[in-house]
Amino acid sequence: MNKIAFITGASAGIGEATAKLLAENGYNLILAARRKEKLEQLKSEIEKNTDAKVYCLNFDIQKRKDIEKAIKNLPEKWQQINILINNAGLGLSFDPVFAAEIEDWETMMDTNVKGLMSITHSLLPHLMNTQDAHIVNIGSTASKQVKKGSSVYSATKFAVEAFTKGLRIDLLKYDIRVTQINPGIVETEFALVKSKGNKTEADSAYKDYTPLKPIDVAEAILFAIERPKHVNINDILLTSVVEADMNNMINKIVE
Amino acid sequence: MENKIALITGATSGIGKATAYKLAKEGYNLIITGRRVKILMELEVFIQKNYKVRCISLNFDIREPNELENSMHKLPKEWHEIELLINNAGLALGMESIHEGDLQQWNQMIDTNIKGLLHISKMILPGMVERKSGHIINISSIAGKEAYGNGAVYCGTKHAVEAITKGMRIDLLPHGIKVSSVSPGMVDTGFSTVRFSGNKEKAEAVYKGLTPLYAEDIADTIAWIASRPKHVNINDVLIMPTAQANASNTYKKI
Ligand SMILES: NC(=O)c1ccc[n+]([C@@H]2O[C@H](COP(=O)([O-])OP(=O)(O)OC[C@H]3O[C@@H](n4cnc5c(N)ncnc54)[C@H](OP(=O)(O)O)[C@@H]3O)[C@@H](O)[C@H]2O)c1
Ligand SMILES: NC(=O)c1ccc[n+]([C@@H]2O[C@H](COP(=O)([O-])OP(=O)(O)OC[C@H]3O[C@@H](n4cnc5c(N)ncnc54)[C@H](OP(=O)(O)O)[C@@H]3O)[C@@H](O)[C@H]2O)c1
Repeated sequence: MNKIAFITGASAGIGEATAKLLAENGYNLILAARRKEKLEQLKSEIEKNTDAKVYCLNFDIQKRKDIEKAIKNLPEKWQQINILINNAGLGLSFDPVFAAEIEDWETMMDTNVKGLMSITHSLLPHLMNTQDAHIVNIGSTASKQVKKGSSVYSATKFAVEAFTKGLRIDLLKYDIRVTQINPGIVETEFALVKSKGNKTEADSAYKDYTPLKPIDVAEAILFAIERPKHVNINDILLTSVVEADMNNMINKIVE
Repeated sequence: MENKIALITGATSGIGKATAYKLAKEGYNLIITGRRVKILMELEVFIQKNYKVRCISLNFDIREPNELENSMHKLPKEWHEIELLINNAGLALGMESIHEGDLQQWNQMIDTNIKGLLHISKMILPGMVERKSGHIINISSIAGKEAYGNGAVYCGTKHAVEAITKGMRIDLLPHGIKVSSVSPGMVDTGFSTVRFSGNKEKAEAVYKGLTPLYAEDIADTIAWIASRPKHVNINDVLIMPTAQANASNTYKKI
């Protein structure tokens, strides 16, 4: 039987690219996000182009009760989840702390931290019941560093890193692998969300340099989950060649 | 030369040797280095015979500046354009509490893991900068992220490798050079035998009760890092046995 991978935030960006790549590599998929139409579109596209089976789940990851209900109602044959990819997340405010909206901070904390923890908590019983279980958390260069305006976004991604490390220690005896993938800047809807839907601002975000593409991150996820069973990739940090770290970037287009 | 050239330090054993095989398979021409000349010669012949690549060996102690430089200067011209440098030569010596450590062992670790790595990088980097192309992969360790008991100095050398890697990346990315590191947990190589000065029993006890990493796992990771698209730089891969969560938490079934 094919392995089942559960991907949060599959309606765009890194999650969407990962869904497609995993489908091509023989995984069946549970795709979760708020935007139902986008998920359904992706489901038909994947089922048309590959042999993978796809099941869609609709919930706001900020709402713990909704997550629990969705997981509880999973059809029997979708319960043997092998891989959980905790990807849903966002950066809303990159204003200095004194100018930021507190609501933006809360949305980031509720999505990136509490959402990720809730869904992991809900799915752990399934994962602990499955062979070869693997949890992949999407961190960021912001899990390692802070830059101007990133205090709260970095705080959420530092929290993800602490959670990843703790999960790994607690699950050591249960043979569950835990990995964190940390990308630098990736060209996704992240910029559009960050600018609160300002298309002009979002479109110009990547015009002076070459960022990572979602597929580059998906490839790193695939590399981690396809290692032999005795190998755990704890952490991959990857950036575009224009970005040495969060505070050292150059403007350059790489052909 | 048509194929890309990779230089691997410490290719006579463990991770370096497995990486030599893997990169040969991927079509790199290889410069292999180490102190044990007999193993180097055998490896050179073996690789040329079994893979469709060229291989040349350089025999030097990476702690000896003159040996290293003379050796590098003897490199035939067609081998000068090194595209991939794998800084792998390194070792841990002893496992004593800091107040009981051996000064000579400390110096050897520092001279090999830090100063040796820096020296060979300095020999090769100007060429990469001039050509605006190249990739350095430093072999760090979980010991570069966390300190563990009775390993302060080894961990210190690997923390240095970590800082050097990050600094290199900032300095070199504007020149089109990628800088990466691989940070492994326990790998079953000659490492523990060297650490315990040839005491096989002590060395084997390290890996008892769990499946460690194998040198090939690291070689596969190095090859994956080297084969990413042009715009992608893998900064670091922290790779551990599934049975080892971090520097201090290991699950052994004994
Ligand atoms: N892009 C970058 O530069 C970058 C760099 C490092 C790390 N990351 C991380 O990578 C992950 C994916 O981001 P991306 O770049 O692919 O951004 P994206 O294109 O905006 O995708 C974000 C995904 O998360 C989902 N999501 C957001 N809020 C949600 C909520 N409350 N409930 C359920 N789903 C929610 C979105 O789906 P719906 O809107 O349909 O709900 C969407 O599928 C995030 O964790 C992000 O922090 C991104
Ligand atoms: N094994 C592990 O658990 C582990 C974990 C994390 C990181 N690492 C790192 O991985 C790297 C490779 O180690 P390994 O595990 O493959 O151990 P290994 O089997 O002992 O190989 C070490 C290599 O380094 C070379 N070397 C040592 N001192 C040298 C010197 N003074 N001059 C030139 N070459 C020298 C050795 O060659 P000669 O003896 O022929 O000179 C040998 O080829 C090291 O940097 C180590 O710190 C190992």
